[in-house]
Amino acid sequence: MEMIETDTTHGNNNRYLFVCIGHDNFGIPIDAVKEVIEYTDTTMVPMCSTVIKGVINVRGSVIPVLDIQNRLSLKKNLNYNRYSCIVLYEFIDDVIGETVTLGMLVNSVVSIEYITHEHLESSPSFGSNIPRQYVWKMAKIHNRLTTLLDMSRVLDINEINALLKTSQDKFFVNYCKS
Amino acid sequence: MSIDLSAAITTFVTESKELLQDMEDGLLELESDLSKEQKSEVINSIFRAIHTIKGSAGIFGFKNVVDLTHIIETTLDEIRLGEIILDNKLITALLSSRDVVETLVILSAQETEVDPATLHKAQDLQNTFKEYLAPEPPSHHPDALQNRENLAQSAGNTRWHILFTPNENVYRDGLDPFAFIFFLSKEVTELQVDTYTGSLESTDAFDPESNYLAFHLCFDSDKSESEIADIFDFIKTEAVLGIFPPNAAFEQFKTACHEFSNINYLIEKIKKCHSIETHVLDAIAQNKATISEAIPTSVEQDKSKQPPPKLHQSKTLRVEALKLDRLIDQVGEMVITGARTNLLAHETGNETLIEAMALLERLVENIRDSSLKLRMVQIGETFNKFKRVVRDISQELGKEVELTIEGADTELDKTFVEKVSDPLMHIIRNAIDHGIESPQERIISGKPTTGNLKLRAYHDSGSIVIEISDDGKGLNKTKILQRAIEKGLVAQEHSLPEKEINLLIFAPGFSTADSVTNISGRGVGMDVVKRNIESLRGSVEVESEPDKGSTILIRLPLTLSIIDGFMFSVHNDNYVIPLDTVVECLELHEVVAEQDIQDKSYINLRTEVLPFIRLRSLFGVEERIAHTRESLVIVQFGTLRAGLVVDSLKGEFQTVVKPLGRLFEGLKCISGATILGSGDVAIILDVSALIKSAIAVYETLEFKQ
Repeated sequence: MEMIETDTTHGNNNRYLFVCIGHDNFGIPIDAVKEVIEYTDTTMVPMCSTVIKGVINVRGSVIPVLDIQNRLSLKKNLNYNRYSCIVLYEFIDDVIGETVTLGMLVNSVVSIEYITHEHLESSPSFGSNIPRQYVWKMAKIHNRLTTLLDMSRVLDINEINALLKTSQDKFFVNYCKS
Repeated sequence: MSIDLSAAITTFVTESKELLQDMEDGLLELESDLSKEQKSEVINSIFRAIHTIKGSAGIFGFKNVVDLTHIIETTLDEIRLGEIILDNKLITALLSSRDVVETLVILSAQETEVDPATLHKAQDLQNTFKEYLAPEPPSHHPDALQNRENLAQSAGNTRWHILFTPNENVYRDGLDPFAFIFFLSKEVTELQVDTYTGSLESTDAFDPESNYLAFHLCFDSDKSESEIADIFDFIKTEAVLGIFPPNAAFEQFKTACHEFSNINYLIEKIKKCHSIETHVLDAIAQNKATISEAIPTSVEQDKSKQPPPKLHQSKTLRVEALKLDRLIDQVGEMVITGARTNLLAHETGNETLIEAMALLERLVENIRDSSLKLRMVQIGETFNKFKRVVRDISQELGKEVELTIEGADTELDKTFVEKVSDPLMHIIRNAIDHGIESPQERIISGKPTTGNLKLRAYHDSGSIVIEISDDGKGLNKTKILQRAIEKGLVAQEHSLPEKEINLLIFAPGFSTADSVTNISGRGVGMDVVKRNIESLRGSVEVESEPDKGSTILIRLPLTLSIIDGFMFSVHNDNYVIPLDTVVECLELHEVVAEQDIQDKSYINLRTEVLPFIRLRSLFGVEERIAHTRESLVIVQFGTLRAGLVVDSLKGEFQTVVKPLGRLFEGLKCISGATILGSGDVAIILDVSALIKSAIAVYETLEFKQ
């Protein structure tokens, strides 16, 4: 699969990368997307929750990859195939003040869309298939409603870290009980 | 004109900090028993330190710093002249002045307003020093009187003297000594020139192009030495030049005179100038060490007048830590790429290539080792800082504590040194506050009044151990347990092994102190200790004996970035553990039959009980592999020994530790990741945490039952 290089020089903060997660499309602000790479085998991190797919080697750095279907707690999980991609998302971690890169495993990459103010709709008060805190807004593009993700919540390091700690403890308890 | 001084200021700050540290070390050294000469050497070095800071601060115009350092300098000068007797109180004042100078330096460098408290302190200190400096009739001190006299024993010349000997080739190089003397004559008054023609007479073959002359110039001037030297600037490489302002040091003058080709002639000429006392010149002529042998002390005086001999010739190079980190990163990349290239070379089956690769790999390994060593620093510097801490705290608490340091030359990673300093501080405070008793109590329990606190560092099986031991009263286990139960850290009926009771002192918010003092008692410090050490992949142990004292052991891995690892695989994934934790590897089916470990997790290894963890089951892999294919890796960490059952062994592996980032922070068993030659990632497991967590979970499960 070709690499889709993002163009951040224009600073178009109204451009979104549309990806397919499970059966639905979701929008990710493109400014923070460092690159999109093809789905490679990941190395499992032992005793981790299923939210973490594993870690990969990107030009010498070890980058964690999140299984976004799991992270968004989607009910029916699709298998990943040759159309699946890892979106490398870069953001600044406020706690340590450094840039962090996380990989998000998505089922496929769909398109890049310009979204202006008039496209935006507020999120439904109930009925969404993903937890409401992950939804930022809805975008009405090509007569379809697409969820725009609130990335600061989806990739909340502190929250995921806490999740991992509990799941690690569970592994130990399961082992010792058996 | 504006010059960017920021770089220079940064250097000034680092340098000042170092000098102030030297000053502190020196002051503390003065408190111990030293011979008179050693003392004066130490005082001199402190004087030099403060003098340098004053000078540099003057360049940048940091008035606050200059003011304070000036008075410190004056005080120190009086001390070294013996005018003031250095007592304990003065050392304390000097120590606190050191702190204030440091604060002032930092604040001035940041161009921040100095807070009134610091200013007040500085003022106080200045007043204290002024009291010491208050004029005292010098006759009270016979010593001082003598020193005053010695001071006068400089060459005693009232006029300027220049000994000017141009080289033989000076004319050939196109320089005319006369032009310089002529210029000098316009700049100064009463110039007297004596030309020495001795070498002309002694030579047989006269060469008209050579110079045979030497000059002695005597004059009056109110110019500075450097201004006079400037006149001769162009010729200074072509001539032997000795410039002596009025009252130059005798020794210096003597040496220069002896360099002059004919000393007797020179002495005669200088005598005629009547600016130097005859006996001084006679002394020079007879090549005596001093002006008058009758005053032996003047020898010392002359020596101290000389530029002090450099004690430590600088053999170090200051490199920015960031650059070093980058280098080590790059070396890490090289190790990874090397492994990959090696793999490819083996695939081709080309023998010469494989051999060349093996050689290259060895070189890379050497580079790796030497670059890692660059980061290694001796722990002594960190230890020495605590001398001051111990002194201050013990004085505040009215206890007598002596700090002994062992293994100061033990080297460890720079990152560790920085991070270990804080925990050590807390441990030392606690040891003095809670551990060591007051002198009265110590007498009652039959111990010497001075308590002993020992800091020790050494290498032990792949890790560095820092030991802090005191000979105090030891931990009060009943009190600790009682407090722990009160705080709900331990259930009442649950009995704990001794080791764990000791470890309770590291629990957050835990304190047995009845009252909170400004030194300890809040129960925060020891919690910090444990967390800091664990973040460095280290561990803490406590040993304590009632009335004999306690010892805290901090165990740290040697390095953070590149380790020798041992690789094995579990269910298609590779894992690395530090090689030095591995004791031995065995085929599982050779040591135990399958039916023997159906329902239990320990084996009988050479009559020793060895518990093991089957990583497949721990990692939640459902499918199992045949018993005959499983291997057992025996690991040891401190006194803890256990087995890990894995799928297959991959052997030793150069491991470049890559951080996993904050996402995985605090996950106990995973200490990082590494990249293999194939480009795959392998997880580095923290063996001790793995085993300890298993033990802890087993225990809680048992407890619930």
